[in-house]
Amino acid sequence: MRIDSAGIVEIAEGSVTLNGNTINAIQVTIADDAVAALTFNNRSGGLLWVLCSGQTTYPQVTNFGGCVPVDFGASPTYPTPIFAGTSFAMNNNGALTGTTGTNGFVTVGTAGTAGTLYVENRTGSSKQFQITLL
Amino acid sequence: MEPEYTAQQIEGTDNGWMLTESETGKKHIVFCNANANAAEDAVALIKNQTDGDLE
Repeated sequence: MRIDSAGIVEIAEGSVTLNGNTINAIQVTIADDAVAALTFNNRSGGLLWVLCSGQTTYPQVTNFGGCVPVDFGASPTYPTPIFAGTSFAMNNNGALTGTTGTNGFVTVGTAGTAGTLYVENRTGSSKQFQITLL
Repeated sequence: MEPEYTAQQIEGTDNGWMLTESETGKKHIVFCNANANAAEDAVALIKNQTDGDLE
């Protein structure tokens, strides 16, 4: 953990547990036509917020962003997303490979290995994603 | 000369890399395309990051 001179607290790895409730967040860079297989401390479900390029001048919220409750445990499932960008999709048909979802889309997969969440980037270029699981 | 980044493959993943900036110690997590999945490919993704042509 690092606290810089501006008072910004940076936790490079790990999570935050508040009164027993673990909150996870991670920033990853995903190449085009690639998939990130992510695991989270103490969690295989929760409210997921996927943000694309959120720390740039042009966050890609309305096209590649999504907010959806997810269960990526042993019986993976998800309801209709609370918000899905125009090029954001969900998948529950097995592990994503990097080219499973529609070209031009960000696809989040809940099936595959229990406890693993898949985020696939097919936007056409490498992108940074800020992924938060509450 | 010390390399700008050190790269370590993330255990349990096929294409995940943990990059550490030598100067600052800052860490970056990168997932590569299966067809370009070497340490130098992961470093290139960070160094050449443009996030496409965003608007």
